[in-house]
Amino acid sequence: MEICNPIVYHFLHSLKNNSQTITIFELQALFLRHFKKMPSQYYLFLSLALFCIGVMGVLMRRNAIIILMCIELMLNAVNLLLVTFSKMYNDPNAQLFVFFIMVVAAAEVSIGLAIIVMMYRKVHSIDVHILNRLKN
Amino acid sequence: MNAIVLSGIWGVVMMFAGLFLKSSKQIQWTAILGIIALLVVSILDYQAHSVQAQTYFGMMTIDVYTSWFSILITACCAMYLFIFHKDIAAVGKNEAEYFALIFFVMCGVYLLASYSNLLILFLGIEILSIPQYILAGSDKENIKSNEASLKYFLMGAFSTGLLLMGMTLIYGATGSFDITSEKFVGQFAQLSSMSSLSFVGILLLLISFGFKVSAAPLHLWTPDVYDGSPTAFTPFMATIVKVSVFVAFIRLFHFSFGNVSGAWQIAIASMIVLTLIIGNVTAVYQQSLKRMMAYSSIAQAGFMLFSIFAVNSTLAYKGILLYSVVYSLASIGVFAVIIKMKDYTYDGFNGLAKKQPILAFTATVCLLSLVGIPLTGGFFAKYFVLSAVVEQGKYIWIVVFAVLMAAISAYYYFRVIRSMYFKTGDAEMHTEPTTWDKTFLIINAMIILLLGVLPSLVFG
Repeated sequence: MEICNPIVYHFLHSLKNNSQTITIFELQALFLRHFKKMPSQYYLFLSLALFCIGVMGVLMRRNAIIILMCIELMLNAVNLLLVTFSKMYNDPNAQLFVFFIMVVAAAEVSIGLAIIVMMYRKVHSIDVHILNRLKN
Repeated sequence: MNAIVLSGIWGVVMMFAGLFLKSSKQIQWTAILGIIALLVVSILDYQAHSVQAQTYFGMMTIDVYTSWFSILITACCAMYLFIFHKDIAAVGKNEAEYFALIFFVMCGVYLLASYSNLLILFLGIEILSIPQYILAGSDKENIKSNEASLKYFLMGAFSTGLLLMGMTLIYGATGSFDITSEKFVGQFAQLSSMSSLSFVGILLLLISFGFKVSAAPLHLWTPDVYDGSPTAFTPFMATIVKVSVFVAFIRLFHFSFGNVSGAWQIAIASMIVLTLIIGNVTAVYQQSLKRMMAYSSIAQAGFMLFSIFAVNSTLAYKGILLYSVVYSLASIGVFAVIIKMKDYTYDGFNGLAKKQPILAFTATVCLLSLVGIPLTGGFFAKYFVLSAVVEQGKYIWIVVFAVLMAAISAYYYFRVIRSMYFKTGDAEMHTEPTTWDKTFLIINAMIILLLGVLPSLVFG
């Protein structure tokens, strides 16, 4: 809450001072100024939370496409964390890593969707529990 | 590293070959030409890099060990293509693509053999995995193949996510992706100076590694995937790909995390125990030989894990090199016989020795090597990885346990030999082996026997 409060405060403050003249750029600058002050632990916790949501989704959902989306969520949590660390260490390598992850994730999704479509044509379902029925 | 470039280019060449070459025979010969060229280039690389060298902006380190491993793994892949090229082409209509994907996988293998940056490790694993998802599902009409593909894809992508999180957390602790950099080495210099982020990072890397090499308790996808995939691709996934992931992670865990082995050695030890029990005991109950080989590949992964367990021992490196080659050749040899059969159950092999004495003989040599009988390469492979642990003096019980498990493995391997030699029956063939097949199967068996006498041949 500590982070949010000054933003809201400044937002309201600026609205009060010169009402109706606030532009989107001012709003953006306002947000950026406060998010820059945000310590990197917050980002770490945010991306770990996203990652865990992704993992739980993979483990618990039955729809293959939703599992795919949860895997993407995991990868994007990693991306967010990499950008955070990149900023923390002032090292562009991690941001480069993010591009590689994006490219690989795109390749992976294209393969994955093709496989899911192939499966759907066969069994008319994308429920992964059907795989257990096919065992042996 | 010209082999990396050539394998990538040859993959593209194979795709064009499918476009321009009309006959299936020509496509197969193009692939065989490619793997021979790859073998020659990796030998030239080996001669060129007698000293440690860095390439690709310091992201890859090439030394004698990595380029020697490249030669060995290329030779195994060559043997695989020599024996299986007809079967690969028979899987489906798009035969050129299958060969192209195999060459792309080889590109990933070379990257994994010589990375010194976590980015290359990640790319290598992905280049290795993504073509395999397609190969597993290449028999599109077969529902088991579809299932294998989807299962492999979901599990593989999930483990990639874990791998990336592990890498990111390690980056967060060290501030560098380069495993040779001072920051990285300093972080993992001793256990007490390690941050908690690195602990979690190493654990996540270990889990992802377990997925890729199908170590228990992360092995659940393996039997279904290996059983469901076309039989022509199962030996490729079970051997060449698996051992190169081992070599990749042995590099990371010994060179980078070797000093903090207290953080992960117990985890590996429990993985070994579980893998050996589950792999060997479940394999006993299998009726299909193909599924039995899938469980046997889990069990063999348990033995290969010993090379990672024995930190910073030269015997462990020798062991993994020998184990890679011997296990790959032996599995390829067994699968080469399985694919010729109509019925994959044990009963389907009854009386094979009378009908096809050469196939039965080569399969016997390969199976004996998988058990680890002396005079076959498998004996020395097991001997080196286990003695690497004994050398360290601690954890002797786990070695004793592994030897007991090897005794269990003898049961299900010998069962095949019993079917072939001592039972009467009409072993129905799916395809008759040609002289070419028999020649290479005999060469394969001879190499295994030769390595049983002179294991030092693979140490370079």
